[in-house]
Amino acid sequence: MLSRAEIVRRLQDQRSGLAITPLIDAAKQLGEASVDLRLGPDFIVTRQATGLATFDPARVDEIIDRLRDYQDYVRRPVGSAFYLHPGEFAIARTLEYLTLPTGTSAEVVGRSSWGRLGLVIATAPLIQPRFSGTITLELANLGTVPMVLYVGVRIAQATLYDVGAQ
Amino acid sequence: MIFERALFRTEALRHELERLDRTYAEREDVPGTKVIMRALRLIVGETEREIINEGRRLAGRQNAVRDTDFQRAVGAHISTLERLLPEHLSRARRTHGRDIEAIIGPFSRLADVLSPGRELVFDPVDRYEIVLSSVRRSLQRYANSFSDELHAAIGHLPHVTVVLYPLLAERETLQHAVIGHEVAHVALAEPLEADGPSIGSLVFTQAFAEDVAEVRRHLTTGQALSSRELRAEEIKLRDRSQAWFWEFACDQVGVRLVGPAMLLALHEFAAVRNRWSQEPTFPGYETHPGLAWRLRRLVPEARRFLDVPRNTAPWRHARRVIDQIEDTIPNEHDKISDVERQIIERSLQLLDERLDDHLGGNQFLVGEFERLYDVAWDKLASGIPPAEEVFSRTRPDVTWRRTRATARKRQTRRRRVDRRLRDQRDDIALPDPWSQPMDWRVIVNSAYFFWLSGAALERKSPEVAHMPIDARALKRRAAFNEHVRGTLELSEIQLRLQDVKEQLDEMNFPEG
Repeated sequence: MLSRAEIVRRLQDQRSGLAITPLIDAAKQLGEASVDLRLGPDFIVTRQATGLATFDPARVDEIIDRLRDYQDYVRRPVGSAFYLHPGEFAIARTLEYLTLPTGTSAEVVGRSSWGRLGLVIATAPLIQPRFSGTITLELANLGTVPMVLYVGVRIAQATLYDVGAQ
Repeated sequence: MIFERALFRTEALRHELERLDRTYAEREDVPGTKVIMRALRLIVGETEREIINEGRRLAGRQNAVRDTDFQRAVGAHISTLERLLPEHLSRARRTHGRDIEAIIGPFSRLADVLSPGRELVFDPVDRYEIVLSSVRRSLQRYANSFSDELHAAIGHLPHVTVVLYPLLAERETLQHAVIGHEVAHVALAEPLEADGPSIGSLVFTQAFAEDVAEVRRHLTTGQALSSRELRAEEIKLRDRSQAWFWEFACDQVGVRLVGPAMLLALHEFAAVRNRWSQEPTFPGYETHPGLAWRLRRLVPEARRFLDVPRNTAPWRHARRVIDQIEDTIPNEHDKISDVERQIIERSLQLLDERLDDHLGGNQFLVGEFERLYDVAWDKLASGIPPAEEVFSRTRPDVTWRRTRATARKRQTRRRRVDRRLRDQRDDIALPDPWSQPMDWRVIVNSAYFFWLSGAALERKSPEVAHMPIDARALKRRAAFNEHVRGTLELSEIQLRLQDVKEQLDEMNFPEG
């Protein structure tokens, strides 16, 4: 696992291939061995009462066709609120764009302060080496009250690892 | 009866405006559209008041007489309203798409500093062109028929300028740099003092006055004209040379504001279909010069940004791109009289003498591009969006040819730094601030040169490096434009979040 010092060193080294951009507040976002990631402005929300009976992996083409009926794209301005109601599921993304070089992987989990209130970030936690892009966040509210998520708040954290020789 | 029908019409318009208000309530990216809607609400409101007042005035009269008088009093207003409103209402319903959003913030801010209080509206149309349209003029013409109060109320609203752009080109993020030409219109048309002339009009008027005798000699050579005919021809010549001057001037100012990307975009956008040279019988002769003259003038303007003592690969690529654009310009010349050519050149010379003062710090500085071009290129080559300038990040433009001794020294120094960092693991000091958003113009210009150099293509064969025509290159073009769009968005987000990051922390739950 990379320490804060090592993360900083690699972010400052143009040849490292590691980038987490933009870091709005590096002092607050860089923890002892992690980097806080912020909530981005794009969301995919699921509609209610769609008439869909099942998602059957044996009928993948049907899923792809029906996804448009099942989900809506929403964009929220920076700093504005996004409401996640109890039982609701939404797909979001991190604000930061990550680039991992060969030999570096990452794990992304939700911040514990949100987790204790019932916000589950069920993202596939492992980010492989040579990944580049924003991280998809699968948000689910398992609590009993709506949650207000503001675009730009620190919502997840990434830990970075050196991968052994291949 | 006519009274009720008239009210139904205005009520329907009012409801539609209220519906649009609710639709755009939380959108920050359409301030110009909201101004248009405010103006429309004022006009519809005034029309309704007029209808109600006339209705009250005519209430006591007999039906037939009342209806006729009523129709005479307000019919013209409603007719004008229904002729005027559809264009602006359609525009209000039809906002710009997401794919152009990344460039709207930067251009809107630029327009606002060049012409304070001005709002831009980006309107997607089916025509493949980019033009400007002023909203206030058409609305105030309608308001004139009403009352001084309505005229004044509309006059107090911010100026709205509509940039019509081709919907088909919405995803061509790099080509949007050509919008710099339209923003330049705003810069050059802004009055220098309240109700005074603009810098564009001032320099042209001076240049024309210097040559007016020559103009008259030219017009009367070989033909006898009455004084009225001479006046008409003089006006026609003046209008044409002024229109051409404006086009050249906006090209030049566009490059000053946006950078060489404006030339690259103009070349890409226009070279496919614009005429290289103009003749009197060709369409557009009265308003636009040929493309060859325009590009020939712009190449030296773009080269200013590359006239720096740097010779790394990115700089060599950029110079080659400009050279290649210059090579595509045919040796064609517009058919225009010598005196018009003289007036245009003189106007541009007068403008050039004043441009630095006029544009001030709003210009894209050569030094800024010089400072960051290598950094942005390096990030693009590494697949990293060049959205952020990290202050303490090592730079790629340091010469890579190192002697062994230098390399050893560097290694030893690196080990010393590493040891110090390890020892101070819990105590590492971060530079403050860590970074700042990359200027959008550095992003666009760097990306454009990167793209046109062929660096973004997987296969860099000489045939396709500068003329990407194969299907794979087209897909790569779409993907690269999307990457640039995303980069601009990241830069914009960082710009907005810088000021509100403390408040955002307050909207979060503390750890522990």
